[in-house]
Amino acid sequence: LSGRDPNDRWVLALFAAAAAALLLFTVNAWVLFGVVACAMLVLSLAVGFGAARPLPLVSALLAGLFAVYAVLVPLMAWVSRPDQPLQLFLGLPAGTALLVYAVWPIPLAAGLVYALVFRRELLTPEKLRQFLAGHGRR
Amino acid sequence: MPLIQTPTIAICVVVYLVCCFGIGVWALRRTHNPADFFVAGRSLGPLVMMVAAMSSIMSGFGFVGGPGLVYHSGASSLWMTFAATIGFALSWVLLGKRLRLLAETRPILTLPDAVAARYGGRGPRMAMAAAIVLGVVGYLGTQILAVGVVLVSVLGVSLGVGLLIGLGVLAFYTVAGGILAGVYTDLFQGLIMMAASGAVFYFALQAGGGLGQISATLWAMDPRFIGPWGTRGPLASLSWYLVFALGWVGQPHGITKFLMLKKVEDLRWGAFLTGAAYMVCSLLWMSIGLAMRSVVEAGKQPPLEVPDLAAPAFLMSYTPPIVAGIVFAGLLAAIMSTANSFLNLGAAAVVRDIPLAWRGRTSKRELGWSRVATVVLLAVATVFALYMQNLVALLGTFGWGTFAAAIFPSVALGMNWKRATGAACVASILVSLVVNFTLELLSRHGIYTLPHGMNVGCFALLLSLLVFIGVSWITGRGAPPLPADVKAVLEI
Repeated sequence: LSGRDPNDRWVLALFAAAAAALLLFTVNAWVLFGVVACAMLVLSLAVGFGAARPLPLVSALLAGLFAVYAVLVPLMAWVSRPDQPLQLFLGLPAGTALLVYAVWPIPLAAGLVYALVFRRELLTPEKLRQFLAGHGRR
Repeated sequence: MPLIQTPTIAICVVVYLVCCFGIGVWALRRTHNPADFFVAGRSLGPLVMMVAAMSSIMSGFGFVGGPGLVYHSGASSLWMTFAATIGFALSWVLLGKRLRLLAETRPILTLPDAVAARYGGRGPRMAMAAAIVLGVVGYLGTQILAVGVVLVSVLGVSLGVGLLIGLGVLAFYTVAGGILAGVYTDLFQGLIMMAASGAVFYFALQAGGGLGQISATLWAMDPRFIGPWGTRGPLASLSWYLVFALGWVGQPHGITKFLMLKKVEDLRWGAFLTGAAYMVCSLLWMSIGLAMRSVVEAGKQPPLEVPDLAAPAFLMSYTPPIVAGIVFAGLLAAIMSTANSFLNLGAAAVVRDIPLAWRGRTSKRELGWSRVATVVLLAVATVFALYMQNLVALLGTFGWGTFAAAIFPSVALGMNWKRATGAACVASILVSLVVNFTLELLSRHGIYTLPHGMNVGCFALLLSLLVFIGVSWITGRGAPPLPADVKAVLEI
């Protein structure tokens, strides 16, 4: 597939991740399934950012988001032990606190980075002007 | 006891219905052609578009089913609603710019229009229209039943009268003003939902004695319940997260909002702000379920007959009437905004997409027929909802997963990957429909259930993705070259 579209390798990676997720589900390897599922989300973001991927901010987002997910899912598994006494972190058991205070809000960073690079790279006024001049209906 | 005996609640709901009616009258004067009816004349500003996208996704399921699921299964279902933050980002990053720019080059009014432009030929358009119609019937049926049930609770009328009032208002503003009326009622409805959710979160913490006390009570009952995976288990929770996150990009009632935006530059802050707004609404989903289960366990409240009563019972017992009134109006808002979007999608599929795929042309009186189709769809969905509840429940259950599995590969990947082909689009849509429907049916009849709590929609999405990429790989070499404008959209 390589050589025709800059997204070829990312789509191939998505293919491999989907296959791996199915395999991990069948053997109930749920920690790895969770990491691979999160990798699929990051790979999908990478496909969408396309040409903006090399920007330091976008690269940092993709790498950071994957690193955070890759740490959080096993960490949640590790700290969530029903046989241990209850220890609260900001009002919630540790594993649930990671879910509520980290897994939930951290991906907002992707929306923030999208906003920050939108005019700089994703759709510069010059790109838009050229596109509309070449292909616009109006 | 009907809530009409609490006049404040009934007044809030009636005021809400009157406002919807008024917006319908306003939009009627501004709807002159199919573009106005289906994509609001591409006139939306960023705020309206963002709130409309958020509120059309937050259906009655979010306001009733969500708290019920938390009450029943603990933190498991939080993975569904927490997926919104990454889901909205994915929608904007993968599709926002490309769908909107495609609409600058061609007359794109619907998702099947976009699919036809991307892949050419009639097959992809027909497959996408069929997937949308199937999903619409299920979603609409469940929303219609929910409208009736809420109005029965609030006004103390029979189900027939409740449906007549609720669907009468819905039909009026959808038929008269199309999606233009829909998005402005969505704006109104979205603001109600956010206000309601913020207030309910505060009262839920009060009722349970604070978050720490709620956690301690639930931990004593069952540590798994308040653990991060809930009682459904880790694989169920994680598969929900995956299918809901990627599925956000596959919800036609959400992503068609990109086609309605006036200026493509206005996409800039949408992913962040819509995700943040949805987080506020999720507070209701999370807090009512946890607080209600906690007060039941503490013996302050009798156990609920069914989990879906968690939200109404909590509102009646623990919030002042004005807050309960706003939340009930918000609940009705959530249901009706989703129903409006689906009516519009269904009408577009019947009047525009299927004729275009079948005969290569559409009616000259597309606007008039769209209004007729909206009424007919509403009538058919009501009959289904009342007399074929098993089928409706089945279609409603597999709605999100079907859209995710059918639309994510073919649209989200297809709009970003030049090697994707029409054959792959059709194949992946067919796989998603067959796998979802078959597995749901087998599961409902107790014949076969996926092991380890795996979600059916997630399983179908993974298979559909493999089929889409694999078939594109195989058929890519013989595929015709992309039209210049589509190529430009994919490369920009």
